[in-house]
Amino acid sequence: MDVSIGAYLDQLIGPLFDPEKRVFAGYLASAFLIALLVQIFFSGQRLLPATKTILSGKIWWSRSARTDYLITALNQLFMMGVAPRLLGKLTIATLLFDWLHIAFDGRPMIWTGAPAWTVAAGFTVALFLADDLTKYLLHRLLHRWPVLWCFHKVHHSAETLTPFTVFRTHPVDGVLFALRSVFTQAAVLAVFFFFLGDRVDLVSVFGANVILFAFNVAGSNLRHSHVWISYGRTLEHIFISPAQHQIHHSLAAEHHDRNFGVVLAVWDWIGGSLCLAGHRQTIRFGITDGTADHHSLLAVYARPLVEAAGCVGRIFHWRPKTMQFPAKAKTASLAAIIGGAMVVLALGVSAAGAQEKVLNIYSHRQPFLIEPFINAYKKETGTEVNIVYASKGLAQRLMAEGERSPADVILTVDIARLHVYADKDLLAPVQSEVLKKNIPPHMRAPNDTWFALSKRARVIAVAREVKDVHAIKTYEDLADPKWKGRICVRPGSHVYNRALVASMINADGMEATEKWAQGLVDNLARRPQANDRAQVKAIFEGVCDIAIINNYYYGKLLDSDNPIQREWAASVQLIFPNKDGRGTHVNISGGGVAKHSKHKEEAVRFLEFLTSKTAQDLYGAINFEYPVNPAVEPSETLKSWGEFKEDDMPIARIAELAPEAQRVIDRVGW
Amino acid sequence: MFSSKILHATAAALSVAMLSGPALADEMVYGPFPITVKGYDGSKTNSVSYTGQVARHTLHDSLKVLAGKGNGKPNADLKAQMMSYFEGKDAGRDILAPTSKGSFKIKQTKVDDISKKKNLAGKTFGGAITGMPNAMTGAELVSFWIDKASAADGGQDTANGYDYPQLISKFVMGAVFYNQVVDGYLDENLEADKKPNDKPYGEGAAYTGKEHSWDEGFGYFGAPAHTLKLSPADVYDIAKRKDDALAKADFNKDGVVDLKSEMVFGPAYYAAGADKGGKTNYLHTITKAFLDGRKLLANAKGEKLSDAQRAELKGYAKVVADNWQLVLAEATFKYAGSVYKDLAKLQTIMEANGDTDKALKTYIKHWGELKGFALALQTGKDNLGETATRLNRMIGFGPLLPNRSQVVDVDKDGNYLRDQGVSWGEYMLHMAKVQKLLIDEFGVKARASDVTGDMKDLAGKLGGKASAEND
Repeated sequence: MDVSIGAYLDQLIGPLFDPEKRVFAGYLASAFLIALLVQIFFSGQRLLPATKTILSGKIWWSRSARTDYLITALNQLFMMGVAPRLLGKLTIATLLFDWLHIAFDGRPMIWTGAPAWTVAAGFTVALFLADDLTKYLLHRLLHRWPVLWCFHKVHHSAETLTPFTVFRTHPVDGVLFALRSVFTQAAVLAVFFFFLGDRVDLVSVFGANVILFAFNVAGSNLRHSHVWISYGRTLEHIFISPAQHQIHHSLAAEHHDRNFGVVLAVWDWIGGSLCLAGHRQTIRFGITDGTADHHSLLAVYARPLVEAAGCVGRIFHWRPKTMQFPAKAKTASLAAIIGGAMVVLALGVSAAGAQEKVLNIYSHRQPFLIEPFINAYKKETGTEVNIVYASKGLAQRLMAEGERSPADVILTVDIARLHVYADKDLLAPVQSEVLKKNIPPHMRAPNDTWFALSKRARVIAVAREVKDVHAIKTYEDLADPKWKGRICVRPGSHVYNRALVASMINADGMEATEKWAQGLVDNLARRPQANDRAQVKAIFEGVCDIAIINNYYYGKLLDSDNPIQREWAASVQLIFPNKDGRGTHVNISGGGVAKHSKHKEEAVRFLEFLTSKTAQDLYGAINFEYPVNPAVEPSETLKSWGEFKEDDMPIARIAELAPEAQRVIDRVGW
Repeated sequence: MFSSKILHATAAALSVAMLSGPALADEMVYGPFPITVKGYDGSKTNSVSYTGQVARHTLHDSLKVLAGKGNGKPNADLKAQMMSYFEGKDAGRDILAPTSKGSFKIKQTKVDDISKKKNLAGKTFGGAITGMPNAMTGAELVSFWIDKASAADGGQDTANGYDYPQLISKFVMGAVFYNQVVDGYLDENLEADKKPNDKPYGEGAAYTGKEHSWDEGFGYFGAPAHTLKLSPADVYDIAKRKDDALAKADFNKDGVVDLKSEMVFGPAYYAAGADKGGKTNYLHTITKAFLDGRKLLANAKGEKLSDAQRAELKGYAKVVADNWQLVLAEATFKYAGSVYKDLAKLQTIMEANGDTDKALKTYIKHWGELKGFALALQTGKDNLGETATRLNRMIGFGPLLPNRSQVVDVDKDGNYLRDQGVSWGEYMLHMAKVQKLLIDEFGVKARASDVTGDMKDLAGKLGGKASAEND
C-alpha cells in the first residue's frame, strides 16, 4: 500500500483532473454554467445574485457539506488500501474469456466484415448500457435490502447537496459500487473481445467513454445540487434529470425508493420506480431514522455497521452467547487427546512393524472406481496398497523411472492403453493358473503380460420414443443412408471408437470398413465431439436419434445423482449390435504386473483377486461392467438391459489393427 | 566505378595494415583481437576464431532445407543425406543454406570452406527430452524426426500434425546452440581449472583456452561481428538475404558476405525478430555482453584470470544466458499466439465447411515452431521443473487436429499413437495459458501475437481508478 502524501493527494485531488470522474473540473465548470443560465433565464436573477445562489455558503459550507468533504478525505485514504486488494477487472475478464472458449468450444468470431468503427461504437454503447443498468440494479438493492440500506443511507443523510455529495458514502457502499464497476466492465470487455477480437475499442473523449462524457458535460453534477432542472414528461422517461435525482434524495414519503437510475430513466420506467419531476417543488433532503446526528464520524462510519449486524442477527435469530468451559474439563480433554494420540501412534508403529505386504498400483482407472476393490483386497489379505492415479502419462512415467520404479501393478481402462505398456516392454510375463482359469484365452496377452479384468460393450443407444431406429440390428446398419443426419458419436480417434473400427476391419476387411466408416460419417447429425455421455444428452435434446456409446455410461446416467442425467438415460434404450452374427464389440479394462515390480508375487495375487467372484461382482455393481470370468454371472441390472453375444475376436488383435483403424478414421474424417 | 576502385584500394590497404601490424579492434566489433598467447610463434595476428560454430550453423540451415524435400514416400537417400548433415563429418558437403540470393552474394559454398569435420549430433543436448514420448535424448529425437521427415510430403505430416523442418530447426537452436553456450562454454568453461587463459587452447593455437571458449560461445549466437553497428531490422534483413542487405552485412566491403563473421544465423535472427517491435533489446544486450567479455580477455594479455576477472566474466555470461533464454521464451510466446490464431481460423473454415488444407498447413507449421522452441527452452543449464511440465502438457506431443485427435505416444516401431484430444476451445485456451506462463515465469516483454494483449490494453483504457463513490 502506497501511503505517501503524494499518492494520497493524487487519490484525493486526482478526480478533479480526470475526465473519467464526475467531479472533473471541466464537468464542474459546465454544471456551473448551466446552473447560472437556469438561474438567470428561469429564476430571473442577475449574474451576481445567481452566482451567489449557486455558490451559497449555506449549501457549500453547511454541516452536511463539511461532512461530505471529511468523508471524501477519509474514504479516499481507505480506498488506497482497499482498491489494490479488490478483484481486478482484467482478472475477471480473463476468467470469463477463458470460460467462453470452453462454452463455445473455440472462438467463433462474429461480424467479421463489419468496419472497425461500428464495432467500437457497439462496444461503447454496450459498455454504457451495461454500466448504467448495473448501477440501477445495485442502487435498487441498496434501497430495498435492509442490510444494504444501513450503509447506503449514509449517502442519503446529506441534507444539502453539492457535486461532492457523490463521495458521501460508507466504505462498504463504496466497495460495492467499485466491485459492480469491475464486474460490469470485465463482462462487457470479455464478451466483446471474445467475439469481435482486436477490433473492439472504446470511443472516447479525453480518455472517457464518449457517452458518459456527454452526460457529464450536460450537467450531471447538478443531480447533487439545489438547482432544479426538469427535462419534461417525455424526456424524463428516457433520461434522469437533475430534478428527478433530487426527488430521489427527498425526505417526502411519496418520493422514497424512486428514480434509482443514473443516466437512463428507462430502467426505472420498466422497474416501476420512475417518478417524473413535474412542477418545481421545494424538496427537503435527508433521512428520518429516529436519530438526530447524521454527520458525526460515528454516525457515518460506525452506526451502519452496528445496524447491519443487527439486521443480519435478526435474519438468523442469532444471540451471542458466552461459551463456558470448566477448567477441569479442559484438563481432562487435553489428557484424553494426548493419551489418544499416543495410543494411535503406538498402534501405528506396531501396525507398521507387522505390515510387510505392500502393493503399489499405477492406475488409469479413477480412484472412486478402484477403491472398493482395494478395500476388499485389504480386508482379505491385509496388504498395504498405494495408488498413483493419472489418466495420462503413466507409461511415460514408468519408462522414465526404469528399474527404480515402485510400481507393481498397472491398471488401465482399454486395450489400446494396455498395449502401450506391452509395446514399451514395461510388463512382466505372469505364470498363474488362477488367471488362466478365470480369464478366457482371447482376453489375455499371448505372452501373458496383460489380462482383461472386465468387459465393456460398445452399444448403440437409440431414442426410446422414436420407433424406426429400433430396427437397427448391427453396426453395419449405421451406414445406411436412411439414418442421414440422425447419428451422434464422439471423435473416431478416441480409443473406444478406434477399437470398434479395428473389430470391424477384423470382421469385414479394410475396404468394407472404410466404406462403412464413410457412410457413418455421412450420417452424422453433428461434428464428432465430446464424450459418450454427451451423445446420450444429444439424443435427449433431439439433436439425433442414434448414438454409439459404452454400455456403462448408460448405467452411470441411470444411476446419477443428477435428475437431469437420469432423464437423459430414460430417453434412450440400448441395442446390442450384431447379436445374431459375430456379436457385440467389447473392449476391456485390464492390468498387468510391472516389469520392475519389487512385489511380483503380491502383484499376481492382486490380479488373481480381481478375477475372483468377489471382485468380478464389484465390476458390475460399481461400474456396470461385465465379468471377464466365465464362471461369474453379469449383474441383474446388466442383464435387464438385454442379453448379448460377445464378439470373441482375440482382444490383442484390436491393438494390432489399431494403426490401420486410425488410417481409416483419418481418411473418412471421423 | 571510380569510387568503387577507391573503396577497394582502401580496403586492400586496410587489410595489409591489419595483416602487417598488431590487430586493432574496432570497439564496436567482435574482433579482430590481438594474440595474447605467451610464446606464440605462428603467423596469425587475430586470436578470434569460431569457424566450427559457423559451420554448424550452415549444417543446421542445410538440414532444415533437406527436411522439407520429401515427397511423402520413404526415401532412404534423403534420410542418409540429412544424417550426413546431422551426424556425419563427411568432406564435400554443400552449404544448402544460406546461399547467394540476387545481389546478396555469399563467399562460401561448401561447409568445408568454413570448417572441416563438423557435425551437429555430437554437440546435441544429451538429456532426456520429456516433452516428447519415450524420453529420447536430443540427438535421438532429431534422428527420429529426420527419419520421419524423409518420408513426409514437403516436410509435413498432416495426418499427425508435424512439420519436421520447423521442429528440427527450432529444437536444434536450443539443443545445440543454446545448450552448448549456456551449459558449457559460458558455464563450466569459466571455472579456474577449465580452459585456462595462460595456456593456448591447444598446442600451437593462436588463442588461449578462455579466449577460444568465449569466441565459440559468440559463434553459436550467430550474430555478425559488427552487430552493434546494425539495427535489429538490419540484422533481420540480412538473415532474409534481401538485396539491399548486402551493404549492411558486408562489413569489410569485399563485395561478398563472409559466413565466418558477417552473416546472421538462427539465435541472433530470433533476438532481432523480438527486438524489431521496439520493446526489447536482446540482440545488442547479448552481443555487447559477449564483446565486453572478450575485451576483458584481451586485456588479460594471456595471464591466468584472477577470481575478480572470472567473476566479471561470469557476469557477462549471465547476461548472455538470461537474455538468450528470453529470446527462446519470446519465440515460444509468439508461436503460441500464432497457433491460437490458426485454431480460430480453422474453426471458422470448418464451420463454413470450407477447404482447410492451406490453413491446416500453416497451423502445423506454426505448431512445429512452437513445439521446437518450447523444447529448445528446456535444453538450458537448469531444469525448468514444473514450468516445463506445464508447457509440455499444454502444448502436447502433437497439435490438436481437426478430427479432434492428438498424438499421445510413439510405439516401439516409431509409429505415432493418437487419441481423442481436448476440445478445440480448451486447446485454444492452452495456447493463451502458455503465453501467460511465459509472462509469469520468464517475464517476456516483446510479446508478439499476444492473445489477450489487446484486451489488456483495452482494460487499461477503461481506466476506473477506484474511489468510494455513490449515486
